[in-house]
Amino acid sequence: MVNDEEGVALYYRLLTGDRVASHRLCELYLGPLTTYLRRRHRVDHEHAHDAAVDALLALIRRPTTYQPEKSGLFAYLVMSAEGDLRNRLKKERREQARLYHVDPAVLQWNTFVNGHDDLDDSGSIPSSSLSFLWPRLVPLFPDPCERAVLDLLIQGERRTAAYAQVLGVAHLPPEAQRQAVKRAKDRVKKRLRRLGETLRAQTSA
Amino acid sequence: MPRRRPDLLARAAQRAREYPEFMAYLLARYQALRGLTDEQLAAELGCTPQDLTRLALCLRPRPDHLAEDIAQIAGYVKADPARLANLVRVTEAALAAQATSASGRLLAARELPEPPSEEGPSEPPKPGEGA
Repeated sequence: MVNDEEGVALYYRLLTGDRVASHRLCELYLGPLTTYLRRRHRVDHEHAHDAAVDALLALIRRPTTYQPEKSGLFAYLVMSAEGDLRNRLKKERREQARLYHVDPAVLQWNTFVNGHDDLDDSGSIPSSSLSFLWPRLVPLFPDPCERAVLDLLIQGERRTAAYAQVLGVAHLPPEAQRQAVKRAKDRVKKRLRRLGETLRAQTSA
Repeated sequence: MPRRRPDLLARAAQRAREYPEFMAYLLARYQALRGLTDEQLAAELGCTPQDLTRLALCLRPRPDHLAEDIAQIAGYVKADPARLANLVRVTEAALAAQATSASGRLLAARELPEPPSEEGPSEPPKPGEGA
């Protein structure tokens, strides 16, 4: 805590147009305010200091926001800094939550793509990943045939005939069908891997 | 007596550069104008680089109390009052010129006549014609 007597005297000097009281106020309150916030809210020094600076600079810029008859100056600065700190922490938690939401899906996706390289044997994409990934997958596959191949892969379809059907090559000899299906699946898999890499990069950025 | 926290104050001074109420705002603009480092600025004002933090957290002089405010600030940070006054005058003039030039450009842009449409005046749709 700070003895507010000197602080309030400085505050009144500020009100009367004193040009240097602002520095003295910072000198008097910045350290104790930072320490108080760090201990009370168990936040790191950066957060505590930023909130303390914002509270002090706000008071100096708009001194009439403080009403001496209602509270002590240190208590007022604490209240102001705590509001700022809460907003900062809330914003950070929201960002963390967003990352946490994305991360498992990306991990599952990477397991799916990288852990099961041969998609013929991979089964289907986990549904929890699919809801997140589908909006990103659609623009990657504007071609209806490739989209149909993707659909079959997602469903875990393994029969070449099913792929040959959607690719429109079912009338070709079996070997030609197999080659056409393999080419189409390779193209789709290549794009899926790129998406996996992009998502991984976005998550780690 | 509270403990002095020079690192905290230096960072507060850095933040104060964003606010026109503070000397930090003027100092930052003067440094940019003249291309000065902190050491060069301190030498120009006849104070130490550490005193610049004190100076930065002082409030900007009021136009109607200029001499009085500069004397108070210079005395507080042990700077040369004449040099500090010069810094304030030069920077205020540069900011005013900048503001005039910006508002002049804005005014000129507002007064420009509308460019004529290349397609010519559009005719209103005839009754029965769809959009």
